Amino acid sequence: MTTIGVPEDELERLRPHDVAHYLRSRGWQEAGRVRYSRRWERDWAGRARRLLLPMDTDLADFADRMADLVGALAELEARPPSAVLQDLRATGLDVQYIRTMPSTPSGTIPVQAGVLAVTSARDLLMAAACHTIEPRLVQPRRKPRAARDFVDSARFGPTVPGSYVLSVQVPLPERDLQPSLFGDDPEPFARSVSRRMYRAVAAARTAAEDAMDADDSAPFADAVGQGVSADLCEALAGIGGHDDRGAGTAHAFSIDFAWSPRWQVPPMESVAPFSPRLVHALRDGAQDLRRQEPEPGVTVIGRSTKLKRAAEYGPGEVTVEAVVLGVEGEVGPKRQIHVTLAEDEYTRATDAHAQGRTLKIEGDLARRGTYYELTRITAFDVL
Amino acid sequence: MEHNNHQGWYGETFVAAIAAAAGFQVAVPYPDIGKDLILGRDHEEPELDVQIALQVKTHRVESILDAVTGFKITLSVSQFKRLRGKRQVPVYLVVVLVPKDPADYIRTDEDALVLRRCAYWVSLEHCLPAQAGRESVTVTVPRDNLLTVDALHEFFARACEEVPAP
Repeated sequence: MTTIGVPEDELERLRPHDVAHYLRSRGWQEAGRVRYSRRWERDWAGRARRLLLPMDTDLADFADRMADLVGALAELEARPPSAVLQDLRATGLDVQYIRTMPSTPSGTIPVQAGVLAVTSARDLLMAAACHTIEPRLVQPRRKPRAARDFVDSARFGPTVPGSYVLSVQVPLPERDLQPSLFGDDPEPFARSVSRRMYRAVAAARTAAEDAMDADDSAPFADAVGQGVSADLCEALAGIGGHDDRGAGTAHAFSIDFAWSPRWQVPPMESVAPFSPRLVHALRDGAQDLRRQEPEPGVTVIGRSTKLKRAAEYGPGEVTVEAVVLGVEGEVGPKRQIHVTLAEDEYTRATDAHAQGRTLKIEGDLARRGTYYELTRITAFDVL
Repeated sequence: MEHNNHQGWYGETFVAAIAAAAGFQVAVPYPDIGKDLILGRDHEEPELDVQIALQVKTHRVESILDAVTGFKITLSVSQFKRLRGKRQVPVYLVVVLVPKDPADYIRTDEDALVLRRCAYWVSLEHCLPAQAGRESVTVTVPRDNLLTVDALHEFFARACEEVPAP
C-alpha cells in the first residue's frame, strides 16, 4: 500500500504516455523536464499548479512518484485517488461518469430513480449512437444495427464514491502498433459516439437554459445539428429522475467524460451540472421535439380558409381547416394546417375555395408552434 | 520514553535541525514507507523545486574513534531495495552517531545549543542489487561523508541535474 492508499503494483503498471494523454485531455500543458520526469502545468482556480510525470518506468521510485501525481490530481479534481487511478488505467475505454444527486444520503439513490437512471444511461448511449449514424429530431423505433451493437459493447464499471455515480465504459478497439502509411488511423465509431455524446450533452444543457430564459423551446430544435434529439433529452431527463409519465422527483446530475488516450481528443471543458429546473426543461424540450417531428403519410380533409401567393403565377400557400385521418382511419380534431402547393394545385385550390368544395391532401404533418404544416405532398384532390 | 524509540526520535530531529539550518522544509511521510524524512525547498523556479529523501539510522557510540574510516550498517533486503537504484527523488542513507546515555544528547547554555554527536551519509544509488537468497545487506557509510549544511545543498544541486532523456 502507498501513501495514497492504492496498491503499489497498480501504480507500477501505469504507462507514462497514457498518463500524459490524460493530462493533456484535461488542459494540462507540458512545461519542461526535471531529471527523469516531465513537468506539467495548468491554472487551477486561479492558481498555477505543477505535476511531475515520471517517464522512466525503470525508476526505483516510479510507483512513489506516480502516487504523488495521482494524489495531487485526486485533490485537485476532488475525487478519491482510486477513481483517478481507475481513469489512468482505463486506457482502452472512454468513460462517462454520471453523477446523480438525489436527496437521499450520499452514496445512495432511491430504487425507482436508480432503475430509471440506469435505463436512461443506456438510452443516452443509444441516442448518441443513432445520431452519429443519422441526425434526426426523433430517432426511429427500429434502431440501426451499428447503434445496437455499440450499446451491446458498453458496460457499467464500478460505482464511484460520492453522490451516486454510474460509470459507463465504452471500449475502444486496440490500435495498430504500426502507424498507418497514410497518417492517423481513422477514429473508431465508439469514439465518434462518445464525442457526439459530449457535444450533445453540452448543447442540450445550453438549449435547456436558453429555453427557460426565452420561455420557448426553439433552442432545442436549433441544437439538433450538435446531437440533440428528443431521445437524448428524454434520456437526460430520466437520469435527472424525470420519467416519461412526469412522475418522480427531479434531482440534479452531472456527466463527466474521460477519454481513452488511444485516440487523441482536443481539450474539452467539463459540462456544468444540470439543476432540477433544467431537468424539467429537458423533458419539455423532448416533448416539443417529438411534436415537431413530421408524421409521415398523413391525409387531411377540409376547406381552405386562406390562400396566398406572392405573384400572379407560381406556387402559393394555402391554410386549410381540416381533420386528420389516422392510419387506422380514425378522425382527429380540426386543425389549422399550412400547405405550400405547386402552381397547378394552387389554381385548383383557388377554384375549390370559390365553389366551397373540400380538399383532400396527403403528406408529412409537423407541428410548428400553434399551427401544423403539411410537407412533402404526395396526393392532392378536390372532393 | 523507551531507549530505542528515544534514540530514533532524537536521530531524526538531529537531521531535521541540520535541514532547518540549511533552509529546507522537512516532511515526515505518512504512512512510513521506508523514508524517514522528505526535504524540499519550494523554489520559485520550477526546475529547482525538487525534493530529496533521507532514511535515518542511529547508532550508539562512546566516542568517535580516529582510526575508524566508516560505519557498517546492516539493512534488511527490503530496506536496501528502497535505497538503491536511480530515482526521481534521490534518497540517502544517514547514520546518526548518538551518545549511549540520553542525558548526553544535548547541552544548552546561553551561547550555544550542542547536539551530540554527528551524522554521516551515503548514496546507495549505484549499488548492485542484493544477491538472491540473501536476507540482509551490509553497507559502509564513509567517515568522509559528514552530514553538513553544505552537504545538503550539494544533494539538492545534484537533484536538479539534467539526466539523459528517457
